[in-house]
Amino acid sequence: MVVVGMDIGSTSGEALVLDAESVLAWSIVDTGYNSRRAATLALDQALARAGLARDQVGRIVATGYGRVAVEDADEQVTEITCYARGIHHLFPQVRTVIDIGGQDSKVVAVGKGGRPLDFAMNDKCAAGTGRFLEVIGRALQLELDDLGPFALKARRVADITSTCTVFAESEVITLVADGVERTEIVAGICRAIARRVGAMARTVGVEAPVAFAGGVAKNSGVVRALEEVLGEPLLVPEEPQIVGALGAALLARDGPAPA
Amino acid sequence: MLRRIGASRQAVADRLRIGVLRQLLRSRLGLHLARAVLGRGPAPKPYQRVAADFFLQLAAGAYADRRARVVWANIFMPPELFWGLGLAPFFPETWAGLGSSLGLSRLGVERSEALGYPVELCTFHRSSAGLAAAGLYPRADAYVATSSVCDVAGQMLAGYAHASGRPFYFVDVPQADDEAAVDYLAAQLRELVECWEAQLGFTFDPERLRQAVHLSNQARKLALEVAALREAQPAPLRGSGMMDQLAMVTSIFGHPAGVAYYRALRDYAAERVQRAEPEQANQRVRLYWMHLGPYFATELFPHLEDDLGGVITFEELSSVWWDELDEDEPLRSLARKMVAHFLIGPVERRIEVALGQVARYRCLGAIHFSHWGCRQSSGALHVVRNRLRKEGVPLLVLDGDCVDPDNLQLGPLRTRVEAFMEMLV
Repeated sequence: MVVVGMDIGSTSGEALVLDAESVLAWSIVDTGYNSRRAATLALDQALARAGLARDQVGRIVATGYGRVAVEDADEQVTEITCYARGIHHLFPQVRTVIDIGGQDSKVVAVGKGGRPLDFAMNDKCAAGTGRFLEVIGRALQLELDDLGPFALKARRVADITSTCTVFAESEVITLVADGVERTEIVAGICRAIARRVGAMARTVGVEAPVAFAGGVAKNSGVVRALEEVLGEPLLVPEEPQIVGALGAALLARDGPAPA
Repeated sequence: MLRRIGASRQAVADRLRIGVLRQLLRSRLGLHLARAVLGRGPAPKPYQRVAADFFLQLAAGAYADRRARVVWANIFMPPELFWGLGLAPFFPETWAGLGSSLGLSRLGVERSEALGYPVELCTFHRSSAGLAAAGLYPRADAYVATSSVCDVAGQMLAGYAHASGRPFYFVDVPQADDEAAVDYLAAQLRELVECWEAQLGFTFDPERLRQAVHLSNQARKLALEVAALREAQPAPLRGSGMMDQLAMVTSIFGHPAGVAYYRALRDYAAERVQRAEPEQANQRVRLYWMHLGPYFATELFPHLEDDLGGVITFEELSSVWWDELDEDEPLRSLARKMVAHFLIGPVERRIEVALGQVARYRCLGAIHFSHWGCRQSSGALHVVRNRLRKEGVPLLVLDGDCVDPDNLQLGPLRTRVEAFMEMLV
């Protein structure tokens, strides 16, 4: 049976097509202001890439904040459960998964069969999320994709003291005015995110091996900073953005892992 | 310009609403109206009718009875003392919760901010300060606070006393639960009664206090029966409907209505058990609820209970934590009740109560609702969480606000609650 997992987040939406054997295709689209339209677009793109029509899909499981916007979903499951399941499929040995998305971050303790054992979330404050990087990148006139390599070039790490995105932006502007290198500032921002997420991770208990997923896991600067803060190497999937959709697809195909 | 007209209309509407409410609260007509309005709502259960009548009586005493000796107190003062002395107690924290359920918290919170109260402060107290400033709280003849559990309450009540020029009394509750602590506290209660006799102009009647303690014991026995009935599977009562038990536990004991209330609740629960007709049809996972919950209408509880099948089997603050009071030594036994509270002293006391109730009510997990600004409930939460986890009891911590709907983000709460249920099922 062909199934689809969909992860409709605040920034991007993903759809992943799975059959009994393997992943057939996936898509990543911008959510924009209309998560319903993003869901349709993501589904259409993924199915087109798999060469399938909608009526060939047996079951759809939706996750992410926009999960309720997926009209065709047979079931809605939270990101917590889907990330645990998705990462377990990719790295069965993983005990903790950290996800930093566009507007939230979460840490999930992963148990047997990819069942979540405990979790912590930050979705109240943009600090410690992808939005934080976006805002600071804009202030520094840097593209989002350039921030990671930029941070890795830093010889020193600027100390960003603020834990608020808006105030951190002011702080960054002050640092620029003081002549601090942009590489150092970006490294400082990566460190600030890592500190915040690292603290949240400790509330769950960081059991190794640890995986890092979500859009921000593509940022090599944050990966390194998080490894330093946690004192653990991080396993990063080849495409970290589709872990939630993969977990949703696995739940659609195989159902929940036994307790 | 249009915006200015809109803003001034809002201000006029607010002033009007406050003026009408102020008048209604202070008149017997208003209380009759409230009783009539309450009676016209969805058919109240017998115990709810008793509770509504009790609070209307409480309001009548505090607001409309000019001869009443009104004492503002925090909720950790034993209510038996007030009923036993013939005083009219007024609990600002309780009334802030009631105000929230009536849609008044925004008004209270905004007023308090304008007065300079910091936003970090608990909204029970902030809202109270605002509602008091708006003239929606009754006059006070005296103020009293205990040092137990919530330290903001004492500061707020002292502040009100300072502003009004009325006396403020502070009762220092020791952290230890032993005989020396009981001696120390009982001496303070005796002194407090003497001060009130002199200041408020009444004569202490030991028989009246003994009677209040007797009524408290009767209500306690019935409350324990309710707690026992709630062990049943399926759970007879809807947990979200029992969230207001704190208001009852902290005010109705020692009053004749306490006996009537718990008898009605016991009978209602027993009938539900006997007929196997639980209030909540969808029962999948039994849960223990820690601290409080929102007083205002929110989708959180219908979603947890009806959509997800989460059964709030028992609530931490519905606990009857004290032993039977000694009718021959009323003040001393009230002191014993005060020091025995599980939120006083080391956090292990709270944890032991939680673990005991989780086992008793066969709960698979616990939810702690962390109210904004409440240090006493959340300060040692990591210790609670780690210990519960060690004992195999997952704990979900929900950050929110019991009073201010503007400070409760439903989306994130729904995700957390759903994820927790997925984890437990």
